[in-house]
Amino acid sequence: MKKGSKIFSYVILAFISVVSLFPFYLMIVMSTYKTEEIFKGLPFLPSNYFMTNMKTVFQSNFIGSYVNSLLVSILSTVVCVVISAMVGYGITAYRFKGRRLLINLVMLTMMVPVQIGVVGYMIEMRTMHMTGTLMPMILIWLANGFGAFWMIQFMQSSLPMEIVESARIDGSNEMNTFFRIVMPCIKPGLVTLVLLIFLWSWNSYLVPLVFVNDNSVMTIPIFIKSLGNAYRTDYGAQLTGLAVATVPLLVLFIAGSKNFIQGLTAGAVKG
Amino acid sequence: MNKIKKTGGNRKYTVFWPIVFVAPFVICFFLFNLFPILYSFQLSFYDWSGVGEKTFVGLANYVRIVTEDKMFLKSLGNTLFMMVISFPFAIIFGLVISAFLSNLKHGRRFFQTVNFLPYITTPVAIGLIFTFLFDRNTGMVNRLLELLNVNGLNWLGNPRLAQVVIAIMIAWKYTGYYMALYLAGITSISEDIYEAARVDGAGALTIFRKITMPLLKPITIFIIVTSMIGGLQLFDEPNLMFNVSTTSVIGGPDRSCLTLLWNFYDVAFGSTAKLGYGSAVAVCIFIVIVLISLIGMKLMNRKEDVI
Amino acid sequence: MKKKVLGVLLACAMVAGMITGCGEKGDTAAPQADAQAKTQDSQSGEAAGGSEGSGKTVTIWTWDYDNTLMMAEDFNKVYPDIQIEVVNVAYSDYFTKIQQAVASGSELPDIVAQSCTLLKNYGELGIFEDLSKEPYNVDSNIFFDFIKDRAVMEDGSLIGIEESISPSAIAYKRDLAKQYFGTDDPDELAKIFADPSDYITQGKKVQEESGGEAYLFHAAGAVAEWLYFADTTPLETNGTIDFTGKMTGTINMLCEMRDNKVVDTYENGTAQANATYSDDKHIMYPCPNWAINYYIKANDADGSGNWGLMMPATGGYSCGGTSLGITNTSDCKDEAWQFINWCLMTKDGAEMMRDRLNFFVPTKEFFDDPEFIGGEDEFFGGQDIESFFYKDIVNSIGTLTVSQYDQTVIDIRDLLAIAVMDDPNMTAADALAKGLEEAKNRITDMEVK
Repeated sequence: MKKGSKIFSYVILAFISVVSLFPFYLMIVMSTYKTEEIFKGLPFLPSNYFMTNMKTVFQSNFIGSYVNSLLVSILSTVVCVVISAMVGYGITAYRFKGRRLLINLVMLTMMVPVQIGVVGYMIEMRTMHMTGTLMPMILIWLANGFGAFWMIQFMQSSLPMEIVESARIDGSNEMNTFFRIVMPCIKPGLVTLVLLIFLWSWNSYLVPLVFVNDNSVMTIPIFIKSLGNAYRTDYGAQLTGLAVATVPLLVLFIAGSKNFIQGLTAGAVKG
Repeated sequence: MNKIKKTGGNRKYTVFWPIVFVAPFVICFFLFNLFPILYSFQLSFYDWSGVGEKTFVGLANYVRIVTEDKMFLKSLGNTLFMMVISFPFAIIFGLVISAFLSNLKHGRRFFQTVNFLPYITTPVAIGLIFTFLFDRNTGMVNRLLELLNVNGLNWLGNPRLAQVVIAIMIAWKYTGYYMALYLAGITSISEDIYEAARVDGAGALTIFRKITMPLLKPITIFIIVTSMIGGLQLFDEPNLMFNVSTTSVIGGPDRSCLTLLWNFYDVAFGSTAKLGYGSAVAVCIFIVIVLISLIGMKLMNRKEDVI
Repeated sequence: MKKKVLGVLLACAMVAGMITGCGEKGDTAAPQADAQAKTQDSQSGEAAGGSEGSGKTVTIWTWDYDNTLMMAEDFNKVYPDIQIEVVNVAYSDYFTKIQQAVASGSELPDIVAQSCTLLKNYGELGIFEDLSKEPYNVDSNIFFDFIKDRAVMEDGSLIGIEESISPSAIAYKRDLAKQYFGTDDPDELAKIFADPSDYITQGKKVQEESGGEAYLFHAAGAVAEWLYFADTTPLETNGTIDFTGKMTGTINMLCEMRDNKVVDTYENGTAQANATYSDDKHIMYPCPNWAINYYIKANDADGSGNWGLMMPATGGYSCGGTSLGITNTSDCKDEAWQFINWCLMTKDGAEMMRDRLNFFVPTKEFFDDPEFIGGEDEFFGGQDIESFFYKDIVNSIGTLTVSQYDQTVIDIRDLLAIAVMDDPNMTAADALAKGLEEAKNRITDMEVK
């Protein structure tokens, strides 16, 4: 490749990256401003209001909401990924009646947003006496169409069935095989799914909007919206809270980026 | 397809273990996905505000959606319009850039991660920042335009421009993500194929058209399918951009950013809340989504062989 | 490995159990709920803390968080045994949240803050105690005439007590008034702005003198709100919604103001619009009494002494307002009533509301005491805004009947304000036609004209 075009490529890449990063950067910078100051100038450089904003955020129900969001996301992610991996394995490793039907079901679930059943879901949760708890925000993630689709697809393309076969011949129990042999084999796929489900449940907005009626079950997006009073939107504090709320996602994605990209490639490329 | 041997007749492998592995998903699916939708379906034949008695009204709710309620069609139009002017852009842009950059040796992971950031940023934050960027009087975009001696635009107050802002937001959010996906895909294409093509005297453009693009088809399909799902579910960002103050209008200026789900949410839970009618709207959305998905998959010509 | 996985699952199940338990907000609070309450404590100072007492906690949902905390704080000085938990809910989600709680069967707060334009809608939910009956026995005739029937439903039940009678006027920045109109005296200014058309002429003058920089008002939405509430034409008469009749005056004025650049292009209520309170380009703001704390002081903290209040050319009006009602599923109705009763119905409470919130409760007889109102206000440059609000303004307020559809029409009003400001070619007639279509679409069980 010629040197000139290489430099050109880097320049383009740098430009795109700046565009990608800019709002992110603004979020951090604006979190150091007093709300009124934000609108007066062009806030490109950090100001000195960060600690005051932090105080505003932490004085309110931030920690509680943070813990709730963590609980919801971690539980949803763990259970959803295990369930998805199991159904993925079930479909990949066995031929059974109704397999085709199940695959179609998964496809359909993936297409249809869970939110449209929210009225029925709300009544159901009411009947099960689960309103006012975090459960409605967790349960809705368990049978995630995308998760199942993803794992099925990933295993079809990346799971060497020979290993499973030889484990069977060695007399290994299927559960055992699944957890000890299959799971490590599909690590990139698992990591990708963990990151995506965590991301989606962490940022989830509509379902909590319906179910959060109480400080004790507030999650981050709903909490941020209620920061400040009705007549003075506290932009600075809201953005501070959001910047802090993005930290777990950042950490997860940076830590998992290698596996994530691998997983995405394997899952999507082989189709 | 994979090459599992038929473990002929062994019920352990055709009945017991499949059930064990598939059951958790199927049970949860029935409990928390299918049942609510069926329940909504039943509710859609009633007039019910959530308190008091339900009144059976037959198909009246559906008749109203089709004949009287302009908001359903409008929200459908809005959603499709915003999808059409945003996702193709993100996809093409992502593909082109990734092709451009595929032969970089250094810093690829770094750029992939950086460009992934918009995708993980919380919609609440995106909504806030975009209102800040595009505000008519104090927004950065208009100030920059003024520096260039161009009159600022009423981004958030004009129905069409508001849709454009949402589209920009979507494109911004997904371009980097798609680029990362394509880049990963291109990396996995064997160098030998390219080499052979070059030996045959193919130019860069031909290689891209004849080799790269076809080989990336699975990724493209994956992207198109997921972007359709994402697009039809559009709710968070418009809602968070246009539902911020005590005097916010439902759906933004002239309700041009009222998406399918926002309309549903407003009908079911808004100031004239009707759970029965809301359920009917939900069922209609369901039908629309299934139709669009089927058409989409047909167009992609791979309805059945995805798995 | 297998054991490990099982262990993880077990741990998950346990945590899940904890979460579920936490939601069952009974007398035995789960650990997490406890922690929540403590967060609440540290935040509200004495408000929620300071007592072991009966252990009953009255929960209030509000969008007016800071003010409600103040009320709770002072209430606890008199009733230290009753804990008040204040839950902040975004205004735009508030009514929706109540409805969802009703429909989903989740726990309602003990006290609901009912926005005045939604009172009839709250009534329809059928979740409130009738305060005119035992044991509350409130006779709404003790309230100001223009407000006494607002929270009374068709069946005669009284679902809430108004927090404040919300007299409204126009606030202005004194330095700018002097600069453009030669005076910052409220009476002189009221003479300059004696007729609605004066806003146009003076607004044009402001534009010319400032070279197009300064505006009389900042947002069409704010002007529309003022005109809407100042126009006492009822929206509903005999089962018909008279949209056109109600909105014509407001929209005409709005278009005229837009054409003459009397009003700037901010969108009312956004953070950007609120930041104009502290700039030097916008002179006047329609101002209900509650806006002093919410808008003016919150957004122009350094502006003490630079504000004044004047009589609008439309006369005084009553804008907004919130009633407090008790839910009939509450398990501490007595305590909830004690809170409402003390804050809004006793003289001590009324003084607290006056001093700390700038709110004036609706009971007429408190105002008979000449000491109750009056006094110079430093923030308003020494003007006696209390007397102004509660003598001059209150006496010029007409009764506005609020219907079940006011909130819907208000949403359309805001939509039109945005549309009119966006498209300079949209005439008042266009806007009204558009609004009527919207109204017909959203109001289905009544005739709309």
